[in-house]
Amino acid sequence: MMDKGLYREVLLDHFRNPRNKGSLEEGMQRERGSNPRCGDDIEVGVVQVESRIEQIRFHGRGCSVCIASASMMTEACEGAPSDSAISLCNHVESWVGSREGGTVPHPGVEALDGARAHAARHTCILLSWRALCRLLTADAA
Amino acid sequence: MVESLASPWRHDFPQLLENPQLHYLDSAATALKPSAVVEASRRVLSEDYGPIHRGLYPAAERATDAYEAARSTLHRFLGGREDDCLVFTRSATESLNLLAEGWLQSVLVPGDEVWVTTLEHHANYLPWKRVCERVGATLRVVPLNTDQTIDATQFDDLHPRVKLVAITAVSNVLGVALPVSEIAARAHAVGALVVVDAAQAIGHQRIDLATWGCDAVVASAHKMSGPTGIGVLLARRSVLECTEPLLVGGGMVDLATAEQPVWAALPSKLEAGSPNLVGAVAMAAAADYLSDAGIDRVESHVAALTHSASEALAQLRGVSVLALDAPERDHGIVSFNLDGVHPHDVGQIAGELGVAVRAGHHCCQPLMQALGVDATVRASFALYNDDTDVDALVSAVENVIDVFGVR
Ligand SMILES: Cc1ncc(COP(=O)(O)O)c(C=O)c1O
Repeated sequence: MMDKGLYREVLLDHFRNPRNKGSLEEGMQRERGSNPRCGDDIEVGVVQVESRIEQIRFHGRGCSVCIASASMMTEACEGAPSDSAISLCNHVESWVGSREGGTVPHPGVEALDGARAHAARHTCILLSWRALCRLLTADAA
Repeated sequence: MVESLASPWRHDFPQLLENPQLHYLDSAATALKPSAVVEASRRVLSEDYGPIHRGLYPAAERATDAYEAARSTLHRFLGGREDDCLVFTRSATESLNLLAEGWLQSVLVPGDEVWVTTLEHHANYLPWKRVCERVGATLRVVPLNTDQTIDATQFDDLHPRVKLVAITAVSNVLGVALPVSEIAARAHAVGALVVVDAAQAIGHQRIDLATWGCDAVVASAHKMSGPTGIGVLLARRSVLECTEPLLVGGGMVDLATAEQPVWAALPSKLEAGSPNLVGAVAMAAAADYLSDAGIDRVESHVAALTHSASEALAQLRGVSVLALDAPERDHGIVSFNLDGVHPHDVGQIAGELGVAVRAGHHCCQPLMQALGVDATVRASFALYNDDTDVDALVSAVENVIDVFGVR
């Protein structure tokens, strides 16, 4: 429909064809993110090898913004060193929180720009990122 | 004959006149205000303002008279009997908490029961639940029947251990009405009291405590086109006599220095602090506005819009309208879901197209659980809505269907 506003083609594509979505494999480190207020409920799973994200997947349900954001996150983080993934999570958190302006944390999340303008959608965008961040920081500690 | 869906009241609402593109279908959350209410607030702020029950000069007397006149207007509007008393609170939520903490807490003993229904808003669920848990009593939640309503026969096994039945007049999610009088008759037969949550019904349905034969009714002004920050509890004097105040302070006490302070007489006992004059006057103005419009006319207009919207939405691909086949529906609310699309996405796209609907659990998580959904999209109607709003809603949902490629 549009490449401005919230429902950009890229976002809808990630929602319709989410990347790295499906059941988590045995042995993955997992962290759940859920928002009972709207029913969004996802789980992120990663395999880290030598402080690098070797594999990342997610499963669950949620609105288009929540699913698309999780899908973008898996693409952005796959293969990344764990500490840069943590930095990226933090950067996404502050970029979303500021609602406009600032540098896009990663080219793969640019399509969330329309959604971050709406404070009511912040939890949807950040659900998966926060789960990943918890998982990685708990592991690093 | 097809009933006209034009609204003779639309032009009374400044926000709609200012925003001709706005299709406001969220009146179940909070209703827009007519100029009569805006004007009544202006007048009391600029002409009749003063302290209530506290001054001996003309402005104070005028303010006190205006406040007490508002109480009488609302008492009448809600069908209060002579032995009922109306207490101003902040909201329906506060009224229910006042009854739970101030009254229920002192009458329940372990093993007693309180009955509510699956349809209840959290405001008519959590206050009772908390007191029941504290006391060791049981909160029983009457389930939805197969047509997604509640009927009176579900109250056939009420028994003398049940001290309270708390029910909503109209569900704020499904728009179905409960058979309040029949439930009340069954409750009274076993000696239970009946509290009716009229928060949702009040904007477009006659509330009649006397005819319903209930013991208390609660409502908020903002859902009947009055302001936020004011609500009422109208209840039998005998119940309020044994209701302990939640707030103590000024205005509610006759003798504060005694070892056992002496509370003021009703209703002051339950209205601690400086009363909300502007709120009370504006709420009464909203009641007068609805009475002048004719509450029965309003009810049938809202029902016609609700019916038309449900029928049209149900035709759309992937849309399921909740409680579509329930009898006693069409009370201003249509809840629906769209296959594979989260209600927030429907709400957001509709919003971008100027159609204001609500998406979420509507503070009814027990009901969401019973329906097996996380959330719904809810369109709600008020007297100022008309067929253009229904058309805009339908085309917004069609747009969502396109964007998401619903099959
Ligand atoms: C059925 C019902 N009961 C109670 C309430 C609570 O009203 P308030 O938030 O004004 O206290 C609402 C408001 O959403 C409602 O719909």
